[in-house]
Amino acid sequence: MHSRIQLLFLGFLFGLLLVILRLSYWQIIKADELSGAARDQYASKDVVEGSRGSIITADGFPLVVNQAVYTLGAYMPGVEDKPTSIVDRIMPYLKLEIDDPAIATDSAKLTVALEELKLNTKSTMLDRLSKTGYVTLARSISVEEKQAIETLGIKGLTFDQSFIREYPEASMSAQLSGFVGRDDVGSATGYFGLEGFYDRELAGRSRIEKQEKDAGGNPLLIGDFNLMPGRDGRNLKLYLERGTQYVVEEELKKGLERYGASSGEVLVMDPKTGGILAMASLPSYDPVKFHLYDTSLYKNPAVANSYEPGSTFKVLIMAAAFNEGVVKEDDQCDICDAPYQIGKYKIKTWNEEYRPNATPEDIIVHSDNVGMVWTQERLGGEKMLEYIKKFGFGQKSGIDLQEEIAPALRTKWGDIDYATSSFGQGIAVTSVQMLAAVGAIANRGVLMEPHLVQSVIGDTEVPIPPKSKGEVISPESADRITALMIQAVERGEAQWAKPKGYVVAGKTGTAQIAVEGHYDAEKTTASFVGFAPATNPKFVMLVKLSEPQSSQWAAETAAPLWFGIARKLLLRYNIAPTN
Amino acid sequence: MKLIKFLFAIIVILVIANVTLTNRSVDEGVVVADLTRDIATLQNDNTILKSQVAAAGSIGSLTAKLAEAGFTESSAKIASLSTVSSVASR
Repeated sequence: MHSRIQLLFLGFLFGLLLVILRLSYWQIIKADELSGAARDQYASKDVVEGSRGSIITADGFPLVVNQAVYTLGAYMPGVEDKPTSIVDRIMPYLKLEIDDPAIATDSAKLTVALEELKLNTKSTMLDRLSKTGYVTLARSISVEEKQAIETLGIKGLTFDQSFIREYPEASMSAQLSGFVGRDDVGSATGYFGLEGFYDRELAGRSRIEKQEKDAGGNPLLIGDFNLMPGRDGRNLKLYLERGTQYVVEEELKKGLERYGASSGEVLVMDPKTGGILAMASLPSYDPVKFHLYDTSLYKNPAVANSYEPGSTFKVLIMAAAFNEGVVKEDDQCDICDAPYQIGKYKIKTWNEEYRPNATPEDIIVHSDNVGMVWTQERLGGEKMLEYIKKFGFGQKSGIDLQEEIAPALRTKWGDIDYATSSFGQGIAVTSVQMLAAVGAIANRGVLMEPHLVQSVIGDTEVPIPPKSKGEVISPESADRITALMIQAVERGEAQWAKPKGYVVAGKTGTAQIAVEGHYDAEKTTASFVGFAPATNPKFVMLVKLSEPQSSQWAAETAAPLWFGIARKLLLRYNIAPTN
Repeated sequence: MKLIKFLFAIIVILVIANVTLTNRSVDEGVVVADLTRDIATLQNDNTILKSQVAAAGSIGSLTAKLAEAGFTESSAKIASLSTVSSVASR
């Protein structure tokens, strides 16, 4: 009897031990997990994504904004109508588009492709509506499409909103703005141009709110509340002017057609601040449908491609020679009467015409290569290289675009390298470097860092002040080279195209393009760089055309295009002629 | 005994106050939820309107409207007066 009671007691003791162990398991080991699960039942987490900042022009117009788009879905338990009836009613309101530019531009192909797309969309929708739960019917539908479908009053349809980037000025300056794509983890990320460079400023930060809610989903004000504050992305205000950009883009388009060039660029900068007033390059792409275009178009060629500047470079070397006092206006070139031999190489003028005793003005006006070698020899190779670096070559200009490159200067320089570089051959630059360097002449010797953004607007507006990179040449030397550039316009090959009554300083440049290690005489890069008005310039502008077909010379292609744009800009800036 | 009654009364009052305030805060929660929804709707409408204003005011849209209205770019010469010329004031 006694042993049975003891056995029963032990049994109870063992049972109690099991209960204690089980309770310990739930209350000690699983405590965090259980309390978390309980919290999840009465607490909710709301995540509100911060919207991406806009990019606005100097005159306050948006270049890039956010646009709401919707995913049309159907929650099948709530659907009352027949699938065929739903699809037939929805279809007329969906704007179906063909993305492929090759088809979109051919009306015959487009009609067939649209009909095919319509049939495919309809059959996909019917197939999905035969399933259970939630189904997606259409993506990226616009506000107007959504509103039209809503008026149909079809039960069970849902609209999930999201935002995409929209470019109100169409593809205007696509290579300037860049685009927004997705990174490895699916987050919206800016690529190339301003979207890439200022991605951290433009991106918003999500607002995460955790709080207890009642059964109806309303917040309990006496419950727990945790907030991780978010913010919308900051806006970028540019120096770029919408009207100037439009003029430049339209003229560049016409210029490419007129001169049959394969590509072209126009850059306009305020020489006093370094602010980019306009920047256009063609061919371009549509930043909304960037995936349809060749990736080589994504990079802005004005900052990501290098070229040989040709004769436009001469003004910089002559400016350096003036600044060092090794060449004066009344000096005469004593080697300009014939081709000049350097080792096994012979330096010739572009038209094989030679001007004995040419002055610096003659050298610039007639774009005399031999005269530039004479100038370089007076300046000295090392000194010339020092000025090339001071003008900003061999390093990034500092412009706020993600894909900027800095073409390297050669490491070993021979006599022939110094000689050819003096007239812009055998040296690689980017358009923006060239623009900034000539901008330094327009700005009386002070080199400014080119910049697109003038302020970042968040809770407050934070200006980005213009940045000087130092005085490259003295104001007097700048005035002296400006006088020569004025003569290059007044007496040069392109004088016929110059805007009448205005004093313009500029220089043409025609450089042969290197193909497989040698220069192709038929393929040239034609450019013109200059500023207007010559005294107190409002803008400095570079026009560059690749492989123009109507003429290979800049004086007959890039220069007239430059003057055509300048004429419109002078009018736009309300600058009256002085002559 | 009086003290016990007094303390009991205070406890009862505090319990009633607690229940009342809790109940009221739940009502306020509904208001907060409505306000949060309104703010989200307004922000959303604001973004959509901004995008519509930008599209309507874009140069591309304005150019199309001007062309539709019959405006064309003038090829006429522009005459400008010298800024230093004197002009009769009377």
